[in-house]
Formats: sequence, C-alpha cells, structure tokens
Amino acid sequence: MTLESVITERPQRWDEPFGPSMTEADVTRLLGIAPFSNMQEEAFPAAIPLRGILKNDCRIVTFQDGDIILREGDYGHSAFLILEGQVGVALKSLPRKLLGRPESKKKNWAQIVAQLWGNSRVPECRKDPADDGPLGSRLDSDGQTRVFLQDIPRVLQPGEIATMGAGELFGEMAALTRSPRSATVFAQGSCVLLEVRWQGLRDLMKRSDALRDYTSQQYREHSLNVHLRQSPLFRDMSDAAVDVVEQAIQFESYGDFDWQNRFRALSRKDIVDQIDGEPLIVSEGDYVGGLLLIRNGFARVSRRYGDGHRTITYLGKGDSFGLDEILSGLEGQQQPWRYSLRAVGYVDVLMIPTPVVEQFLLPTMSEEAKRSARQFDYTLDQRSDGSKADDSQGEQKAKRSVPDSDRLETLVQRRLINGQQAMLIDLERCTRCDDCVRACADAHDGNPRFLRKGPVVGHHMVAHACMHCLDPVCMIGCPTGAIARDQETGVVNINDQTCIGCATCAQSCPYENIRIVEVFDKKQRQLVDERSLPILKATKCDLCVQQHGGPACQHACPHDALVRMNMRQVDVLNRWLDR
Amino acid sequence: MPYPETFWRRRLRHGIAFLVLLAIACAMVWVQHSQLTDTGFTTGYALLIAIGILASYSLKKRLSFLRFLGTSSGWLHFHVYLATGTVVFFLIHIGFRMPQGILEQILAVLFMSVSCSGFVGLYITRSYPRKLAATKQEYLFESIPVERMKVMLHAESIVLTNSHNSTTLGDFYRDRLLPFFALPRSVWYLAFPNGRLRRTLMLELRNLDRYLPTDQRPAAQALGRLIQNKDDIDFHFALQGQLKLWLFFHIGCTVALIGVALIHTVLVHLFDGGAL
Repeated sequence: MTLESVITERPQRWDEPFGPSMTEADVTRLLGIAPFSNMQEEAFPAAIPLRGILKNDCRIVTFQDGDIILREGDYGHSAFLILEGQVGVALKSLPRKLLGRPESKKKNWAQIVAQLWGNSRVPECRKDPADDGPLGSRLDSDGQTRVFLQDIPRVLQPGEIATMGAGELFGEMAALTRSPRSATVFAQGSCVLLEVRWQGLRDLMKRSDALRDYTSQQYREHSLNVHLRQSPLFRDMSDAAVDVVEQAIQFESYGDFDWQNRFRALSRKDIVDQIDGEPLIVSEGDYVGGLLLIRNGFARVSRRYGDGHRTITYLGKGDSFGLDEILSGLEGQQQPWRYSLRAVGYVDVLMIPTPVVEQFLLPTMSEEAKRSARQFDYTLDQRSDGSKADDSQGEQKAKRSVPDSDRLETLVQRRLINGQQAMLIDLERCTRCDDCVRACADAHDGNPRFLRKGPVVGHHMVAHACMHCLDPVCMIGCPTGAIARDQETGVVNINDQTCIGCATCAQSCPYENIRIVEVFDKKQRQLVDERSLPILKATKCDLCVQQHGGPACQHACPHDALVRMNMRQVDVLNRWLDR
Repeated sequence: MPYPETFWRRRLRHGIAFLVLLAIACAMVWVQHSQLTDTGFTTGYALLIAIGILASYSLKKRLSFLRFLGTSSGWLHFHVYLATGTVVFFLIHIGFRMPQGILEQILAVLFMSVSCSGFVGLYITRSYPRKLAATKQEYLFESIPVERMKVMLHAESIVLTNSHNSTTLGDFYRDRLLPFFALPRSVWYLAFPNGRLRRTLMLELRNLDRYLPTDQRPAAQALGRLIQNKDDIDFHFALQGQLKLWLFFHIGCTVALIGVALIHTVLVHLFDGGAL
C-alpha cells in the first residue's frame, strides 16, 4: 500500500479574520487612536505585527440606540473599545425577560397533571413566533441580529446607568478569564465600537505595558480577591497578607481559548499524541517555582510511565497544584515537580512564588488543611517519601482516588470532565427500556431532549444530553442571548422564543448535545419564513427546570442505571461507577 | 449529590426488612389459623390488594411527572419484594396444592404465569444488560434495521471493489455471507441467541484466505469485522427484543389475572353462605 500526499497550504492563524470587512484604511485610522497610537509597532514580532492584529483580530461594529452590546451573565470571547459615541452600563440587573433570557418558572401542579393529556402529538410543535413577547430585535447592515432594549428610561433610572465614552475599553475581563459578563452594556445613541477577539487582546497585552497593566489592575481590583477568598487555602489569611499575595501573583494562560473548534479532530487522535500536544504548564522533574492555582479551565496531572505519561487526575477551577512539593521543601526534602501539569483545552493559572507561599500562606494553614492540600499523596500507592498511603484516610483518599487510569484518561481525552450534569448510563444495568426517553418527552411537550447514544467509557455511556458544562462554550456567540446560564441553578437553558436557529450553539458544543430542529404548528404544518425556508430552533436538555423534583430521566429509570453527575466530583463519580 | 449506596448494601437492608415483614405477616396468618378461623378471606384479600398495588406500578410509570409518587427505581424494588411475598401468600392461600375448580385453576395458572414471567423478567433485566454491554458497540433497537442495512451495503461495496481479478471472494460472499447479511435470523436464534453461525462463517472465511490473491486478504479481514458487527447487531436485536417482549407477556397476564381474580372474589362471596 502506498501513502499518497497532497501538497496544500498550511493553515495560518489569520486565514479567517474576525471581521472580513476590515480594510487597510480602517487599520491606519485605528493606529492613530489611543491606545494603539501609543504602541510601538517594532515591539511586535514580524509574524504577529500590530497591523495584522488590528486587521485580522478586530472588527468595527455599529450599534443603534438601545442595542444590547453585551448582557450580564453571557460568556464572551471579545472586548470592546469605544471609537465613537457612548455606551451605557446597567448598574442593576435587568429583568430576565427583557434580556431575552429563558424563564425558569416551574409549572404548577395543575399544569403538570395536564401534561398527561395536554402534550402535543405533533413533534416540535410551536405557536406562531409572531405571537411572542416584547423582546425587540433587528438585523443590522452586516446581517447580524441585534437585540435592543425597549423604553430604557422606564427600565433604568438615570442613577442606574454608568456611561462610557470614546477611548474606553470594556468586556476585557470576561473575554480573558472566560467568566460571565458582569453587567449589561447597551448603546446610548448610535455608536461605533472596535471588537477585539481574545487572541488579539492577548497579543496586544503582551506588547503593550499600558494595556497589560490596565487589565491586570482591573483583575486584581475586581476579581482576584474574590477568587482567592473562595479557595480554602486563603480563608484564614489576614487581609494584609492577601494583599501581598495579590501583588505577587503572576497570571498565565495556556492552550487554545477556542478549543471547542478543534476538539472533534483532536479527540480522534491517539492519546499519546494528544497528551504530547497539550501545552505544558510545569514539567515533572523541573524546579518548583511556586504554587499554582487554576483560575479557569482544566489541567491534566500526569506522571511519566514507561515511554508515555499516565494521567493521575485532573484539576479544575479552584484547585491548587504544588503545595505538596513546597511543603516537602520546607521539611528539608527539597524536591522537583513530582508530576507534570498540562492544559486540557484552555487553562488560566495563577502562580504564587514559593517565597510568598512560605512566608504568608503556610503559617496560616492548619495541619489539617496542609494534609488535605497534599491531595496527590492519596492518588498513588506510594507517598512522596516512599511510604504507603494511609488507607484510614478514606474520605481523603476518595477525594482524589483514581481506581481506573484508563477511565480517567478517557474522561479527560473526551473533555467529559467539563460536565456538571452529565448523563451517565450504566450499560450493565440499563435494559434499554427507554423509560428515561419517554419521561423526558412527557416533560417537554412530547419531545425528548436527549439521545440515548454517546461515547462509552468502560460499561458506562455518557449520553448525548446537555451536561450544563463548567465551561459552557455553547454560550459564546449567541446573537440574541437566547442560551444562557441561570445564575441560581447553574442550568444552561435556551429561550425558545428568542432563539433564531442560527446553530451557533450547536456548532460550538463539542459534545453534540444541542440539536437544531424544524418546528411545526398544531396542525402539523411546518413553520417557514417568507422565503419558504424552515424556521429552526435549538433544543437541548434543560434539566426539567420547569418540573418539580429534578430531571425526569433519572427519576424514571427503574434500574438505577441513569444518573446526572457532576464530573468534577471525582469521589462521588468513582463510587457511582463502582457501586 | 450524596454518596451512592452499593447495591449489595441496599439488597441486604431491603432483604432483611422484607424477611422480617414477611415473617410477621405469616405469623399473623398462623395465629388466625391456630384460632381455627378461616384464613382464606384474609390471605385472599391480602393477595387482591397486593396484586392491585403491584399492577399500579405500570400506571406509575405513565405518571413519571408526578414526582411525589417516588422514583421508578424505588417502585421497582418494592414491586419485586412485594411480588415475592405475594407468592408466599398465594401458596398459603391455596394450601400448597392445585385448586379443584376450573376457574380457580385458571386463576392459579394465571398467577403462576405472572409470577414466573416476573421472575424471568427480573433475571433477564439483571443479566442481559451485561451481555449487551459486552458487545463492541451500542445499538438503539429502533435503528437496528438501518444498522443492518449499513453493514450489508458496506460488505457489498468491499466485495465489489475487490472482485476485479478473482471471483473467489465474490462467490463466497454470494453463497455464504449474503444470506447472513441480508436475511433476519431464525426464530430459534431470537429465542436463544448464540455465536455459532458467526464462528462458522469466520472459520470458513479464514479457510478461504489461502485461496485469495494477496491483495484481497485485507478485504476478507474487513468482511470478518463486518460479520462480527452484524452478529452483534443481531445479538442486540434478540436480547433487546426479549427484554421488550417479556413485559408484554407479564402485563397481559396481569390484566387477565386481575379480571379473573375479581370474578373469583365475587363468586367466593356469593357462595359463602350469604356473606353478601
């Protein structure tokens, strides 16, 4: 057999510019405006010139009066610089309905009982979209759907709006930290903005001290303290010590922010190639520079085994790495990193230098806290000092136990660790009776919202049901904000009324858990637009948010074969898998 | 989410509770019997109520959105234990011998049919999933005809693209593999699925290998994999079919049992010396 090859152009970073309509004239104009006018073009490498960033990672967008630029709670991948006009920042949370958010109101008992006979016999039956609520939307000149706030003076009093003008930057923290937008921003009059996608923003920050200092300061002021205080490591630390730690922290990002775009191709790769391809955060055997805190994303902890690397565990938001090595160093057993840490997809890391940890953090930690922080002792048979791990520490061991390395590899390889409500089906108990599917359909007007298919790990299937991910990449780019996370319940839900069926969410979901469906009226006539194209809607599991008592699928399984599981709770996951 | 309990611990807990309750119930009947009271009505009504509760599980499954009724899994546990207790009560009720009257015999046969199908169901719902999970791939019952068609078309395309310089593989496919890929399996296989035909075909394919040109051997190996796939699909069809079929039988017998049990109750009262 001969291996044929075809010569082709190697894909480049800017093959697909962010804004295809950006011209050289636009770039030249931008170079005359702050902060770009203050940047030194020579500071940028030849491969990533400033002009290139502006041309390919930026786009100029125009908004009309009242247009929502970004919504509180949305996940975004870009920041905005105001070029002309001004924008308003809502200082209070706006009503969900006004932002086009899904209503999470539960059905009353009469409505629940009425499901017995009231569910539609027509699949994906909808009422005429023209009958829908007060949300206003329009198409702009670029063909983008813009949602606008109606009657702003009635919704927001003058004191409830902060105004930002030309030259000001907003949205950068959510774009860089992959966190929800903290406020709703809307256009006050006509305004022109420069939207910078995160890759461009990252490169601009690297070469512009002013921009880097500005964003770092913003993060230190608004988010870092909250982040540190959420970690049990810093709970007992004084405010003054936390201030010192905050100033010493270094921010680092690894991996690909838009990992979901390459995920499907990547997941087909061999596990060895996949691990080798993951950006290395720290390497086993290297000098320990400090304590690492995972701010966002996931990281793989691995150890050299033969010629490859064996996954020991995975870390996510709020986890720390390296305390064991620092503690050992303090006890006079100086040692290098015992494990390697790699970015799985994308990960944001905070690094606290070792001297700061030793001086400010360790003295405030109790022995118990130190013991529980040395989590990796319990993952392997051998401790760092060579002694056997203590089995009496059952709870601790369970917290990070890794009974099956292959299982863990698969969970990380397929990024299933992202799921907060993943649907696990034990195939050795499931009788394929489909009671779960029927219950789901009963709860959703006759339409099941998941497929009893999916990747199989051992004898457990992770079904194609929305996992309500920790890193909800499906929410990035929704033009109407129809897909959103409920801040109280964590459920990612789609507002059927405001969904325009653009399939952005379905294409972004790496797990194929969102389906785009054609919709019908009660008489089973397909709903089409004026060009006879079908009206489409995105559908997915909503965790039965309108029902009482949790997801119907789990409730309906007669054989205890199905569970909705937070994949971050490794201890519970392992116990369920090994029942 | 709380830590899940292991199945063995749960079985032990439920099993002990069941045995204690059954012992108490039996003791109550024995006390009544030792007082020379007719226990027929007590055990009979206990059976009728138990059958009603057992049958209501099917209704509960249709009311899955009424969460206050409890989980389906909880109901199934209760169903299994109550059904086991009901069998004991049934034996006490008929005095451990076959009844004399035609109606009573029909009733007894129906009860045994329901009980036996229930226990068979319990066995297959616990053992078949393991067998299904052991196959390489998972198949939805509804999509099995499509999967079969896909495998057959794939096999056909392999044979067609590899028959240009020798008809050996094509002839073997036509004579031995086409019926396997194209036709449904026998009723015997659906009742007792086994790997005999797969093993036979694989052996024949291996024996054919030495007659094939070198460039057709990979195609023969690919056909071997498709035989395995098709056999897995048939295996899923047979086992999943049985898992669905036994329930129809169980529920059908239950409906008949309830009907005959009600007639029996009325007749017993009519001929009980004016009890009505």
